Amino acid sequence: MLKFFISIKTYLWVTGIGMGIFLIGSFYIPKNLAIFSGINDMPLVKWLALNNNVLDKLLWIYVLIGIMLLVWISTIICSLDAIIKRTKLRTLVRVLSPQILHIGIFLVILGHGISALSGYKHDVSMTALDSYEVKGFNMKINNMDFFKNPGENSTRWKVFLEIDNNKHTLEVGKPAFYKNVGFFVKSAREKKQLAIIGLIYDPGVVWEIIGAVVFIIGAAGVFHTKFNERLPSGTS
Amino acid sequence: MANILTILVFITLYGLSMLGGKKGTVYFITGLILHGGYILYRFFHLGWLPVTERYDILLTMSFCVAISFFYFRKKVDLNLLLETLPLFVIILSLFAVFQPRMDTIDPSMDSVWFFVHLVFLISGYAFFTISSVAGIIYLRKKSVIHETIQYRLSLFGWLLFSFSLIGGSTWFFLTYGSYWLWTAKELWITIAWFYYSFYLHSRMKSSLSGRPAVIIGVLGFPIIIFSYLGVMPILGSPWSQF
Repeated sequence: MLKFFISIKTYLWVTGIGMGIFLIGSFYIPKNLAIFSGINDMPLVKWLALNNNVLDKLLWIYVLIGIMLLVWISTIICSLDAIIKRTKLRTLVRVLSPQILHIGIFLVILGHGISALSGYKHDVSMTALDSYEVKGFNMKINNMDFFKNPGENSTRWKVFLEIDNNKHTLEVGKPAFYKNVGFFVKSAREKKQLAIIGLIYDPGVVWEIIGAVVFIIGAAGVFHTKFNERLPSGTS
Repeated sequence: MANILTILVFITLYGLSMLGGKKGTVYFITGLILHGGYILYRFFHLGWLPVTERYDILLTMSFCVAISFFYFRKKVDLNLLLETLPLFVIILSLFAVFQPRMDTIDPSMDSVWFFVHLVFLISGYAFFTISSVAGIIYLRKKSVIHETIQYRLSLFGWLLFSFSLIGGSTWFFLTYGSYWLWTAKELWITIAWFYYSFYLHSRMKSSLSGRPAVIIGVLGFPIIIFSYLGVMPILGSPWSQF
């Protein structure tokens, strides 16, 4: 079993099949937008459960989850195997860097898995000065600013949002985070003094960030090793 | 019109450089200077790094690929280099000609993470392209050094591309509250990422090392081009500007 997961052949087959399924999905989603329109609005597993009436059309996603699981297991087993068997003080950076990089990928896939399993995405349409209770938060928009910067093709907004009596300023690309929940302005209308606020709770994000940091550390080691390696000479 | 003419002039110079020899080098370097000058002009004209629309991204990418001439010059026969490298620079620049020019920026793009994403995307794709050049040179000359160069450039490209995905996911999460979406574009980006990971690992398998792995690496070029330019018009994707 261990041999199966540390084999390069396994990895190549698994990623090969995975790419094939991603390819199928890339053609299938745009042609079936009626089915897939809500897939990005909630955790994947919840969406799959809600759409189990069209199971035959979603089979490729289930297979893809299985494939990603295999990649995930293979990545960590392969890395641990290399760390245990090949690490020596003299070749520490050379051997460890790609393994750290692999662990980063492992954590990123873990983050994707957690995001697919848990959390929520909830949009609420709010008018200024009205109070709303959403997902246990008391929310009120105190004010909204609209302006346009030179060179930009659309209007910017600034939404002054009160959450449980705490004041936050939400802008394009600058959400507010409160009690592990992200508050985003999805869109805003000046005339109606209305904003669509998205509440996003995604416990997978923290794993994505840890994974990304670990990946960057591993990548720095790989860059260092490869820059210092001499090129071979001669013809094959 | 003047913009398109300028691009066509340096494309022509790159084309003439394929004749090879000293003359070819002069044509290539003249094209490169004009190309660089045009990117600089775009920078001052826009007032921000010219990486916010496909037109500029492709021109910057092709410029990065053209600069690799100085890296390859000492490692590859000059005529062989001038037969291969300009072709890739021309392809990327020609794609730019057909992109609409907007000269505006969306407020959501005004983010450090967005620029991190695009700078690494451009450099990653440029490395992938240059690695394909090295792969083609290997296929023609069978020199082991070019196979190693192809591998290293692909590895660097893959790492930079991964950084771009980290930057892009962070930007997208802070702007829209998601770091990944089920769209054709995202699926193709994942395909491109896995494809190069596949290539980098395939080299370790004895039955694939050498020529087969080199061919797999070279075929990465059409895959990144499709993932970048083909997905939106052919499959449909919400992200059209960059």
